[in-house]
Amino acid sequence: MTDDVIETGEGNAGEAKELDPETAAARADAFGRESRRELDERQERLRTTRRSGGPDLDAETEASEDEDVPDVEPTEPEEEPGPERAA
Amino acid sequence: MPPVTLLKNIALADSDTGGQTSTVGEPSAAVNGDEIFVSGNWYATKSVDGGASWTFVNPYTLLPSPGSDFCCDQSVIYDPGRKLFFWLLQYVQDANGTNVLRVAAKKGGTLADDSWHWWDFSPKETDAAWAAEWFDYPDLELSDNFLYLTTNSFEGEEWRRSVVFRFSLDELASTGELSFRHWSTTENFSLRCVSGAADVMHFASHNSLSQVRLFTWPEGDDEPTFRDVNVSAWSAGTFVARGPDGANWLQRGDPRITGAWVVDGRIGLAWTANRRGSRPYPYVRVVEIADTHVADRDIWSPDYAYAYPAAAPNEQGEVGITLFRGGNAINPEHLVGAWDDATESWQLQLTAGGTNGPVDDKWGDYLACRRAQPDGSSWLATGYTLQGGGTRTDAVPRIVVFRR
Repeated sequence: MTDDVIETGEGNAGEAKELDPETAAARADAFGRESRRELDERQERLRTTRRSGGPDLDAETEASEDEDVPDVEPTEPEEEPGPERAA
Repeated sequence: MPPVTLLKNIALADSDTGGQTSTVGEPSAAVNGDEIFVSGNWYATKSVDGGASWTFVNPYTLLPSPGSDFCCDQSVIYDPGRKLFFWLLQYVQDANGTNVLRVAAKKGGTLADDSWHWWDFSPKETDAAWAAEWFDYPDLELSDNFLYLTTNSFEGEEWRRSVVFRFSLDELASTGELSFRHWSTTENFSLRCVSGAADVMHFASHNSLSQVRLFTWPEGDDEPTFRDVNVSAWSAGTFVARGPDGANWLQRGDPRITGAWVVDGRIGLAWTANRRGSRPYPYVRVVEIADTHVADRDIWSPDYAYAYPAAAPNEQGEVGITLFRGGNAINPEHLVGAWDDATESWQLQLTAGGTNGPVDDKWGDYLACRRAQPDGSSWLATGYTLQGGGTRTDAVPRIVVFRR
């Protein structure tokens, strides 16, 4: 394993910034919700495939009915949805 | 007798989330008695009456901008030791292609107000050599004395490294100067810390389709060590689980580890694996590693897919889980459950069905399962379904408190 594979270090983020209650309340009141159009566009921009990296897992994959899988029984849930229950 | 008892099964309304839902829902939750703080991909919301009522919290505007807009990928967690809520927010890349992660904190018992302390972390300030990178897919976990932030780091679209930050909970509680240690690797993608850690944190990532790398970081050590553990072979590749409306809700699914826990030194890992052999749909691969012994505890069905597991142990060491199922005749649905030692099986309970799959085939990317506080015997889990349509505005997030 080479030195650049793993790095360690330490840092300092300094003093915390603080939003005092009055400012926070003012900001909560002053700003509205994101526009539906902006969020629809954001949904549109979401990648179909997630970013990935590391070992190339996909390269080894060719599904076959002959492949072994752990000997585990199928999982059968309780099919009735749980009751809607608040507090 | 139901497999688990749902103590609360709460559907969030548009007024609770500001309507800022996505089909990539990413709900997370933190609980301190009647205080519940919930985040999604693009919203946050809070309750101070045990979930009976909710107040929308806008992550785009509540906190001042660090220089770029809020993006996404939030996570929240509660530390009962220091009585602290933590809120993790990811911001968008600036003109230089880099961004910040923000860790905000507030005392338990004060969730009603909107006052937070926060610290920002950028790749450049972590390591000058990372100046062109940006952080993505962050997550939070806790041990007795530290908060851990894991994240991937990309340069453009290229993955560069996975990073673990470790922060002192005492320093976070004092809201003063915050020192931290960080550790990174360019070999393993998407590190996942365990829930239930005490004085040793464990985290893991895949080495291959039959081996995981298990890292161990004692609280008293400056850096982690690792060992490689062979597991039964599984498959990756493009996931397909089309539902009754043709939507492939797992199109953006991948096999990164999304659930991890530790109980008495035994490490549990869970991820979504692709169809293989006699299993015709993607399923949840679960392994429990105890020294050299590896037990398989997969969750699968011959009729539909399971995906996106998250899990946590309760005070008794029982493991609770939250996940989705869907495909074939079933639209994406949410379930919770627990491992039953007596039957050596997962006992799952449906919390809500769905009326649709996502019209754009986008789902995920994670759920959250927390040990409830102060009742450490139960769990708080997140989920969501689509109700009445297949677009982002039809997503209904769900908060579930359950016990065995």
